[in-house]
Amino acid sequence: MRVFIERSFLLAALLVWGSCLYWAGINHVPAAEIIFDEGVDGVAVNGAVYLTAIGTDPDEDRVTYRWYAEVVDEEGEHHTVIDIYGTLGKTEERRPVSTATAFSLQIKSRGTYTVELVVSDTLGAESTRARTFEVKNQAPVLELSRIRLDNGDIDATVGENDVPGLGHYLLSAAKSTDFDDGLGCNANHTISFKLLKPAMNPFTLWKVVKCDAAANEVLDKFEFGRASVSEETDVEIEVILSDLHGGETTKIHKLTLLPNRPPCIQETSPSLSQEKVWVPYDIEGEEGLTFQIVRLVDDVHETEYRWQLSDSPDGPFVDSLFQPGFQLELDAWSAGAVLGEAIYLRVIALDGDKTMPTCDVGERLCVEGNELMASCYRWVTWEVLFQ
Amino acid sequence: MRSLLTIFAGLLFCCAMGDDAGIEAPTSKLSIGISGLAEPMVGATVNMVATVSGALGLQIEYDWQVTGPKGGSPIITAVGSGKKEITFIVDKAGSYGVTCTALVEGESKPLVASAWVTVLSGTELPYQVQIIPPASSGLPPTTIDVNVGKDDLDGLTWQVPSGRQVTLEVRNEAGELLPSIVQLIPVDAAGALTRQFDLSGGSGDILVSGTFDLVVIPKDGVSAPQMLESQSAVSLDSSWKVELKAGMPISGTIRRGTTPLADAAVAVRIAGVPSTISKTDASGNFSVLSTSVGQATLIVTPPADSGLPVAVLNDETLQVKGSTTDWKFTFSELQAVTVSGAVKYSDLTTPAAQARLVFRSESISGVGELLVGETTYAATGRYRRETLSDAQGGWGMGADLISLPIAGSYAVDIYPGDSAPAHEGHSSQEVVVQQDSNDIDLSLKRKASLSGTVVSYDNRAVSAEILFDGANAQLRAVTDDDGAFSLQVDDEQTYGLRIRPIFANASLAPLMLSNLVVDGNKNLSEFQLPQGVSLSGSVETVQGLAVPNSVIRIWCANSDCPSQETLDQVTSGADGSFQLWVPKQ
Repeated sequence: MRVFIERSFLLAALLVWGSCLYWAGINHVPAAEIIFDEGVDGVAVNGAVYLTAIGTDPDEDRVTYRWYAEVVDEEGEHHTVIDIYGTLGKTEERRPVSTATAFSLQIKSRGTYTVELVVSDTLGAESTRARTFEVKNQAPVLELSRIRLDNGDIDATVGENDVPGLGHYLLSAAKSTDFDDGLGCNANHTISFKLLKPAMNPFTLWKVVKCDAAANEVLDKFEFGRASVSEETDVEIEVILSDLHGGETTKIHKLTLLPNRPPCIQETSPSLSQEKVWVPYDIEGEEGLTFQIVRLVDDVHETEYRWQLSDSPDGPFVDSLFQPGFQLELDAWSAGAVLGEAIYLRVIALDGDKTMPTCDVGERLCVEGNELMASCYRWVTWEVLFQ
Repeated sequence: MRSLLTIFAGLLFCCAMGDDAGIEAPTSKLSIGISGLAEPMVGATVNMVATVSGALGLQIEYDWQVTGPKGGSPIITAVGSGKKEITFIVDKAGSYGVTCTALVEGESKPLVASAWVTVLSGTELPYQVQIIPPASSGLPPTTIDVNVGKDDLDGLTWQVPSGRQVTLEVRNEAGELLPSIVQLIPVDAAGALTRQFDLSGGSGDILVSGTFDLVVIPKDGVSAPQMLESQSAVSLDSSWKVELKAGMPISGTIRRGTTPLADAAVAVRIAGVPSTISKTDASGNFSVLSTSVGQATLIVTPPADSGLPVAVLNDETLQVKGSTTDWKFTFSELQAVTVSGAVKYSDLTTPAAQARLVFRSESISGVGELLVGETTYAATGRYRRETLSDAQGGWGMGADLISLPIAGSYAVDIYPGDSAPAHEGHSSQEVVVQQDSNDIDLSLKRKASLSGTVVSYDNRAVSAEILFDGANAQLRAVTDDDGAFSLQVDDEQTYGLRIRPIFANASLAPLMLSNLVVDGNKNLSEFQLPQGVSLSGSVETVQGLAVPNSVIRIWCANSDCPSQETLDQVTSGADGSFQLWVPKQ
């Protein structure tokens, strides 16, 4: 029994010794694995793929990495990725783009990328792992914004998409982006504008405006407006932005056109509440007084002012000989005033359609809250005393 | 004056937390400011310092963002994180935006403060900006200096001095409240408008600013108007009581030849202050009240049916030193003449219906004399008469008989009626009226067509608004797709043109042209808008309240500039915001 134990122990010792001899004499090949980051599936030109190497060596030798990459472009051409920045070229020389454990491969073109990782141990044993990923075209991201080109004073108060029909608008896609192609005036993209609704185009202004590279614009714009509508009218404009690689994004811009509303005088000098005004009867020096519209709101800024005179507060009013716009210099001589006698001066604001519906005399509040009321035109009358 | 822009850059900007209703009032305030030069030069190192008040001993985390001027490089973000101050180098002229966010220990909401730093290139030229707040605001106009170079200036804050509200009471000698109209005439404030307030009960709140003359016009028709000169808004009490002086009587008679003239209106203006108005009685007697002394101007308006002109007597030697009686004014016996005729369109053939005719003569000599004591003063006459042509273009016929006070030369303005074709425009004619047989033909003048094209400095068609400022009208036109515009205007007049791009992002400066003359149809030479530099920001009071509807105009204040005329004029928006453009140097 004792002999058996001694022999067994000896055999085991021989086995261990022999095994050690075996491991010391044979180098093992390291294993290679490539880990992509999560974004690899949607990566596009101008993006990057983050690559991590997993290299394990059974002998626990120190390992080194060599990364190679090539891309087959959309025409089937093979290109070698020459450096880590994604520079492409054709070369016979097989050159690693990186020797790091992990690195970002900058993507510079569409195609099928093959990334090869070679893991080598210190004794020269190496293994290779290759993985591929696709870089496809990305459709542009279309962002639309509408701005008012005429000076509508209360556009903002009527709701984001409820706009005066007679306004002049610009539909711009300037905030759009295209990650892989980039945007540039007259390059890489086409943009189209189509009226889906209503069936009959109500706009008298409807045109594409070419982008202006000098003004750093990147896409054509669209101008529309000047629609005279008698009732609220829903409008839908389809906008399609396409790149040259089949990428396309469509958006429908919706708005509601409002019928024209009359202008409203909100502030004057002398003030609205001042009914009696003094003007020096200085017919020789012709010293007078300036009457001024200080603030007026209108949905379409095409205001004309009529300054009118009368001997009576009830009229009839006759247009002043001078139609100077938002202010009037009134002096006794020009007004044909008589010393000590009052003249009634009225100013009326008119917009595009020039019609004057009837209106209660003295009614002045034409804006309630933020809403411009559509009932009638308003005017201001002063009793002017010449002394 | 130092630029407020400079002051702006040097000011501390602060912002408190928690402006929502119901949120506990903030205990800390963040301010940021520039140390060193308020307007550094390109290449300078700028040091911005944050100060948090009300957070003594508490830990504060700072975060900074700096954005370079438009087109500038680089745009710096998240610099100097964690530090109380940042330092950065400015490599381009223009406005740099600096934002600091500070999180104070124990606070859940960060404090944020922003400031603009204006960086000068050293090649800027001095410009001046005039800001004229609306008359109704009571704020005085102000002028601001600003240096403008090749780069846009954003975030400007221009301040106008504040006005004050005072309660004004007007009382007569007996101490009774006197319903009045008061007029405030700004003194030494270019561009400021005269303002009026109607004190219907004899008292009311008025807005005052700067220095002004106050004219009080009592509404009772009995008390004499009065002027209080050079009132200073800052030195007024919040309750201002004005007691009117008793007026000095000036009295006399008005005659026509040897006959007393009844119902003539008589007034005397002394040093710009009117007297009361007196209507002559059947004996031609009048008596007006004045509160002023000095050189007097006598105005006598005869009754309309007299056919006499208004007599104006303005003689330096006619002095009023106190109460005066026995002024005797006598109208000469003028020999009136009647006129009639026809008015035609500009083709000189088609009758012009409903045309408005205004006859004027502003210096009729020998109209009458004033006798004061032993001294005689000569008056001149002014006459103005309007009439309409009938459906056949005739005027001065039948019931519309036109009688002029005397033969001689008259100016006649002819304005087209509502039914006239759009191309018919105003005309002015000088007519000589004879003592007999006055059949006068008048005609309208065909409007002239002004056309032109607006292009950019690099010869692109420009969408622009054209404002025509003429003698009789302001007109507006907009260019078409080719940059072309056309206007129909009255011929033979001087006018100004303002040509402004419609698109703010066109980076073009407007053109403002004055003293142009319409002389027939004219194709104006191409208007080329220069490349522009933008100045944008807001107008506010010293208390930080927005000043909307202010007229803002800018001109170059340096002899090196091609022009010192107004380069742009805009009106501030509802939030006081503005954007001006000047040509890029």
